[in-house]
Amino acid sequence: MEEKLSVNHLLGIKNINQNDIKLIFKTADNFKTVINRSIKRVPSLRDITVANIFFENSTRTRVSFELAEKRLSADIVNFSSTSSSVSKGETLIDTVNNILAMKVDMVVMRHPAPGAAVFLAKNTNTQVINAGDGTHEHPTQALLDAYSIKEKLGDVKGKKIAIIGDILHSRVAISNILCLKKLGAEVMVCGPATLIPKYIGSMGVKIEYNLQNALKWCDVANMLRIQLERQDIKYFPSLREYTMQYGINLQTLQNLEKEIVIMHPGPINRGVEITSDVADHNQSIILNQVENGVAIRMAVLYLLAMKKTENVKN
Amino acid sequence: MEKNITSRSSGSILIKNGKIISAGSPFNKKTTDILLKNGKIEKIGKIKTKCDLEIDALNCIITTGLFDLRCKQGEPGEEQNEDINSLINTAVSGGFTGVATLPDINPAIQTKAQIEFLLRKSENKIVDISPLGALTVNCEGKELSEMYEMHAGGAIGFSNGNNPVNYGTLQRALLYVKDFDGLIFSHAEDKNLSNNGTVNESKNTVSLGLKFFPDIAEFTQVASQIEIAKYTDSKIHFSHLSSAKSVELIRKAKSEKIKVTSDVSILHLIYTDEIMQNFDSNLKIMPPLRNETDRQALIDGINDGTIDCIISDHNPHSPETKLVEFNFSPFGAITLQILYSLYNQFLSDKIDIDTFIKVASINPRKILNLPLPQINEKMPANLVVFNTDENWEFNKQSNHSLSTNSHFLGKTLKGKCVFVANNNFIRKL
Repeated sequence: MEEKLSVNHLLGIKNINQNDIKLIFKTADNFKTVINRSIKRVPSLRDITVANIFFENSTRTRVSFELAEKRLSADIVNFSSTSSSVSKGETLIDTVNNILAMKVDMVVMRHPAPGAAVFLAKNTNTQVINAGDGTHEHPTQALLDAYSIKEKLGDVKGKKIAIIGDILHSRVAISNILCLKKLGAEVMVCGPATLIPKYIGSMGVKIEYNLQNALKWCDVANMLRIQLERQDIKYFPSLREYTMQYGINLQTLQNLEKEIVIMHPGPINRGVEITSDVADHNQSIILNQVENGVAIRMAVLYLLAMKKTENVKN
Repeated sequence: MEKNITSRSSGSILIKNGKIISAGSPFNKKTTDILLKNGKIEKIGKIKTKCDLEIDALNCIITTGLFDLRCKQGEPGEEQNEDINSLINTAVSGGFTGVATLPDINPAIQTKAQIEFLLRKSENKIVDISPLGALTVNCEGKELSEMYEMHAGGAIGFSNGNNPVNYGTLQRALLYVKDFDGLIFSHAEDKNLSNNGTVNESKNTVSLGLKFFPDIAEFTQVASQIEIAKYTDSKIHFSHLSSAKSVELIRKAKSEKIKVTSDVSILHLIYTDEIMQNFDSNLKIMPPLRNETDRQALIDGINDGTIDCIISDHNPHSPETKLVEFNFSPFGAITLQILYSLYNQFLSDKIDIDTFIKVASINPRKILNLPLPQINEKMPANLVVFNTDENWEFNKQSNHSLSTNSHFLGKTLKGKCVFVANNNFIRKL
């Protein structure tokens, strides 16, 4: 029997188990082969219509999903609005139901409100893929990050991953912690204490405020972007001072006694979290992450579509 | 007699075989009959007389009518959420014969005319409405409102609803109302520390991505406000406490004879922030649900007398405003009609019924200097019959509020109010 996901939606890493993650990785392996062929398209999602609904700015994630859908031969509609549906006077449920009334099968949604994907899945009759909901979760990013670590280091289990930067406002951090822990990695968060949630330790991660200590400890450093747009108050005095304490430059990298892998979910603030020479260094797998993003999203779309077919049959 | 219709209690009414819960009454804990006539308790004991109406109270308790110290109705201005009539229906269905209503609606209840309007509109009803007036103009926390005149018009106390006031304003308010023995209700929140947060800060909420409203935002204010009350030698009432540290501070203040009283909402007694995983906006309440240590401390506070009252904090919102993403949803849930059922189902093994009646019927009236009901012969008939075993579904049909923002809608609850008498009115439910 063909393997299936345990869920009908991808709302967060919270909602899936280790087998789901492994199945997504296995499926992504196949799709990665596909997208590196001269004919990059497979008919897996033919006759399935996916709506990409983006209530927040996005380049990378939106393009990555769109490409994944196109490679799978899905029909696509794109809807983006930087203002939330509520501020436009229409509720999110109405916006989505209007789109669904045009016979859309799946919704990929990015939204500024934490829990928006959960809310949508509960209140509409569609399959939902969370492409980032505020500061809550960004499951496909976490999956592609873990997949990229596995690709680079052979396995995720037992590896030491440091997530560095603005943990408080980062959906990438939450999803990454959940995903890496489910795969057996050791995780550390590092950043200014003002940007580290008080109870983050309860997620099973180590906490470190000193960048040097974190870098000495880890096999992989995942550098997060400082999300100034989400900070309504000042959590540190200046970007300059932040960079002095938590930025990585070539010297920092070379001073370490071992080679560590550098990751970044993008978009990079070059010269803030990492300098250009680090971003483009051979220890950096930032562009591999982007490439793997398409394969992972193809896997997620495909596996969820299979679930839908299964549900219809039953 | 038709169900769910309030009528004049003409003739004689016999409540048979109920267990009386009324501390101080010689009939407390007795299972017997009660005869009501002309709005008064005529006789208590085994009664054989034929009456115009008989209420079978077998397996029921008979208590004094409940009183809610903090609930919201929207009239005038937000009557789409709840109006006086729907509030009365909701209250009486939950066994309440009196409620204090909050002033922080739009427009705020801040003039004598508005207070008188509310009193006039609720005059001669089965539920007594005691309006609170705005503590500051528009409940904005800046300038004191005309509290003296509102008091003269019948305002029972002053509150800013869910908006905190700064120390200076609070100090002046506490001093200003001394002259007419006004009562200030405090919402303890330091806005700099709560920072527009919506959930407690804990291990249960750390991965939700929602902004935190930590307990420190409450208890630092409780600590400071106790000091201000001590300094001004005034009485102050802390509304909807949520944290263990606040309870401890109130306990200490009471032991030092500082004039503090306090209450806790029913939802804070039955739930913790563990339930927030589903982003249910009907559990987005102010202050947010805290952790198990806090919940236990609140229960202990009720049991040892540190916390004086259990409140509903009934806060109706239309489905249009509530059925949105968690962050955009306003704080609040409807709880007035189901408060007793929630107590009976979730708390009766932790807080005994005598304590419950003390904190949900007697103490709120004491704090407001209102007449205290008792189930005794010749006393006014202000009483409620609760069936402790009846299971009923709280749904759109049984809900009397104009709003539906409840986590419990569609759920079966245990324990139901079946009969209410007050102000010479009766209602069978």
